[in-house]
Amino acid sequence: MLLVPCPNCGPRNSSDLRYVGESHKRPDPATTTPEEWRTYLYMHKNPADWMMETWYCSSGCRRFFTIERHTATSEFRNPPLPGGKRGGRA
Amino acid sequence: MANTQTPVFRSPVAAGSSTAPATMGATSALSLADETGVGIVSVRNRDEGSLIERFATRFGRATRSGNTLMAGQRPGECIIMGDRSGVVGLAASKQLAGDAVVELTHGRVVLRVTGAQASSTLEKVCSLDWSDAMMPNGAVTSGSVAKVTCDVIRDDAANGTRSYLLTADRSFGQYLFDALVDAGDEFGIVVG
Ligand SMILES: [Zn+2]
Repeated sequence: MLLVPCPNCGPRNSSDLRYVGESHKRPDPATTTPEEWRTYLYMHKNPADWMMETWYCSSGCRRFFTIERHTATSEFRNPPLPGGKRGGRA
Repeated sequence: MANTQTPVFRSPVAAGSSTAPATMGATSALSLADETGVGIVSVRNRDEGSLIERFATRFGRATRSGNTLMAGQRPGECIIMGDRSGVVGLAASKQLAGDAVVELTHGRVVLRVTGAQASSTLEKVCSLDWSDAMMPNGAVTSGSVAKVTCDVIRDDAANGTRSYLLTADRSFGQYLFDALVDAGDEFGIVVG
């Protein structure tokens, strides 16, 4: 079981949440190129390292949040931030 | 059309559908009641402070005033439960520009688990911490109960008996009811 810290509900079983994926900044649809949009939708870094990712608290507060997780150990660090699409690590 | 009919509100939980004893024992340590039909209105506003001011409740807490229960169900969302015309009127009387007010009475099943063994029953089907420290009287939360997303309010009886109000999407009503009867069987759950 993975305990995921929701900023509103506190630690929750990951089965109560939906994993959204790597947190990428969404390009402006009015100015983005097809290549940038495709990269935003489909390309992932998949690091075995710390990664900013978005979760959706589907059974709790029904809010998106962003948190840093180590993909190899599933440790979390730093407080979760409300909202998704905050931009990943460089 | 001459042959008009008045719609009849029915609970999604069929009466007599449970194998649990259908008598409400005054001394029972655990009971399950179907309270579907109680009026439910959701008021949402991005300004959490405005909801706190008007409904005297904040996210994660419920306040009871007579038959009316006001619960901060999610950040920026307050649920009002009680007599149907009363809660609809209350929400309308306090409505401000920017509110999204939706009546949910028809769309939710409302079950109440009461008794000293209520938390032991719910622990079997839900991963939330049901201890008094995390879930005191008046606490509000949401979580998966028997794999159904439920809103939960700890709403103890006037005599102090532990009681939890569970609401979920109406279509899950019969399943959720049966799952709770099953979980409470070992504690001698009674339906009523
Ligand atoms: Zn949450």
